[in-house]
Amino acid sequence: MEKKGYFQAMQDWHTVLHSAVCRIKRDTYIWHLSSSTSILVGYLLMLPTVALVALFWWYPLLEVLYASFFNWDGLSPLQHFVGLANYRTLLFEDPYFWNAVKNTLIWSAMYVTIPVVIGLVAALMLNARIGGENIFKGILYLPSAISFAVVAFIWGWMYHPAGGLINQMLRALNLGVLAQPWLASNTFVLPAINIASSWVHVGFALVVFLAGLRSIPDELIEAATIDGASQWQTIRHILIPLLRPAFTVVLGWTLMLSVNVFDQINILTKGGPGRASEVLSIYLYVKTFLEHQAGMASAVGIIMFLLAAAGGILYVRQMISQEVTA
Amino acid sequence: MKTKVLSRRRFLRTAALVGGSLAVTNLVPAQVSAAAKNQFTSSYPAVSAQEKKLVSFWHIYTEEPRNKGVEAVISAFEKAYPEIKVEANAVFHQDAKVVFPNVIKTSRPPDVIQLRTTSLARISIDAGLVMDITEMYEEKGYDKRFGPLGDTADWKGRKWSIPFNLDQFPGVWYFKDVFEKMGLKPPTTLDELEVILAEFKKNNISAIWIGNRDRWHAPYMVEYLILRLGGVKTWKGLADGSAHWTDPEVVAAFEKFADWLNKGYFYPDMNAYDITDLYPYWTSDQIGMCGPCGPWAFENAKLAGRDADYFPFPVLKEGDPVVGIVNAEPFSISKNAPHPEEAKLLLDFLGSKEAQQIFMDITNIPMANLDVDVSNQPEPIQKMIKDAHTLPSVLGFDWDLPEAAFSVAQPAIQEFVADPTPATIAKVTKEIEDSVQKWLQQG
Repeated sequence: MEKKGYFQAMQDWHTVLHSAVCRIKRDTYIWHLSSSTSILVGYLLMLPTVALVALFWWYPLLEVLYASFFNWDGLSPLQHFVGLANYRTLLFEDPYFWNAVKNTLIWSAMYVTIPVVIGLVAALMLNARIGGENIFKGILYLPSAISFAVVAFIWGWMYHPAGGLINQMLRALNLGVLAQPWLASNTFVLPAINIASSWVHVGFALVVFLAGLRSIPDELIEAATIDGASQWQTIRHILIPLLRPAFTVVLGWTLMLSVNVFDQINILTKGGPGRASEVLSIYLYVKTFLEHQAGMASAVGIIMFLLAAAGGILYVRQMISQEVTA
Repeated sequence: MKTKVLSRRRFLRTAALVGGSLAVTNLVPAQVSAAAKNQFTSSYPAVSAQEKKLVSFWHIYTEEPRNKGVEAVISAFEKAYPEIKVEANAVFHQDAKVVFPNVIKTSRPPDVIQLRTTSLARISIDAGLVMDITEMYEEKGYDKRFGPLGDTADWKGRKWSIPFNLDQFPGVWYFKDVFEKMGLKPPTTLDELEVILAEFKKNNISAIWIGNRDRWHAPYMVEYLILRLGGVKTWKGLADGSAHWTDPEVVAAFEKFADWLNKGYFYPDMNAYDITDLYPYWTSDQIGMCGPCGPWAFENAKLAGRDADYFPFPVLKEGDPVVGIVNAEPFSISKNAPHPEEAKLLLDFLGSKEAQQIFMDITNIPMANLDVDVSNQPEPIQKMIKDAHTLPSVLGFDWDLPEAAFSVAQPAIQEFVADPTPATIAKVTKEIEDSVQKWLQQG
């Protein structure tokens, strides 16, 4: 039997799936379902997913919204209705909340930038079809499979002030003056944890950008070269604009992850030193489980949701506008 | 070729059949297997796990040697009560802060649970989630069993827990051979301690270490200095709101700590290290002393083959009371415990001399029961137990203080140790005081 390649096998599967879909379409016709029944069947098929999302997403969200109007310790029954007082306290009286918002924004900006920049540069290099492309892709993509907790422990060792790899290397290079207590420094702690966390997404960004680059017709590049465009001009005016869908995917994905970050910061610093790395999710944890102010924490959760939703809406709108443009 | 036409009725009938089958197949195997199991076990007259009464037991002993200790205690209980099986669940103590408040409010909470921090216990009691065991205390004479440590179970005049092992911060740990070599003697006053700190510094050795990455270690130094410079009254006042973090005695305690930090007595960058990071530096004599540290310092020194001892944290002047920081890792019964009678038996056993003796023999950790025989323990452990059972004591930082105070104080103290200036002292003491006042206003 002829041994099929991977892509041949995928193509066969695609053919099988396509014919199956066509058959279902044809059979639907054969079932003689009226259009109203057809719609009903459509709703029925959607029902399990909608039920699951409602049960595990909308219901908790509404519960959290409800709890945010109470002064609640998280254990007693909800009793002391305070209206919008929790939101007022957070927004107008609590300096730690605004510190957490500021840290979250800085964190998100770095968290998005690092994979985008490194992923794009790596994709541009690999797009030149150098040898060992799959090995490079494998090396860069592998960290995506490691759990955040493990990543945090690895970097915790690397940042160790005395025996950590980074300071040891600096000392070996006679750059000991640059050695820092990375995780105990108000200045360096947020970038240090951010680098430790965001590098795992470089592989994902690379794969998306590379797929985007490979979909750009060669004729466009050739035409630009003939017109005398430099390599930088080709990247700046042709490749990057055409990579907009890939940018949207990478930015949207990393932005959503960045708002929800918790594990790495909690493992490495718990938001310290002081409150230098306290982002909104850590602040929410402190409010809920250390201060037992679950009502206030619920308000933090709702504000986090609104922030993430605002980002999500912009992201979806961008996607839709691109589809329309295309 | 004849096309098979699927009618609507047939489609719906088939869907119902498939759906029903799926539902049944999800349920039936469990029922069948349970029935089969019952039939199988019923052919054996011996006591099976199914016939035993169960009691669920959630604790925080995940690490050696404590996990071995608690396993031995459970075995002894099951031997004493063969009709009861203990379903134990160990949760790492940091995770327990999240897991235990959630599990205790479910409809099937653990029968016996270790509500470690006082604030969590207080809130759980107020929420009606913990069983009042005042009558058990009276019937069984627990006050005699635990002495003054029984007071740690009090809240609003009732008893809610039994103390088990002691989580104790007796003072400063040192190596006898190092002190002998340097001609030092354990100090009794803060002035004498400062002489020792300076002596280590003179020999280019970091005098003392605190690992404050997780934020809880440096607060114990603050607590001891407040106890020594302001007395127990000030500390208890901070816990109940009658004293203020901006009071001169409290500020003086921060200033003393700042003075030692600025003189370079501590191993640097304490916010960068967890306590476990620094044992090797201490046991290899790159650092002189550990303090204030608990019995875990002794355990780790022993593992490194070193002979450690401790001195109680020195007082301000001769004659001042030597007050220690002692709290117990207590056990409570959930108010809605599914097996309350078995839970009471287990709780009583956990407080017994037998159970606590087993735990201490394995772990070398001091216990709350006054009758536990400590004669086979190393000398420092015996001394610690004697101090805990006889000297006046207060609870620890995150046990005594209102939750609003310690959750603000922990990062604030981390900020202070990184920048021990008068401005930072003024900032952090005000921050903590403001949080306490806000908490008091909220009731």
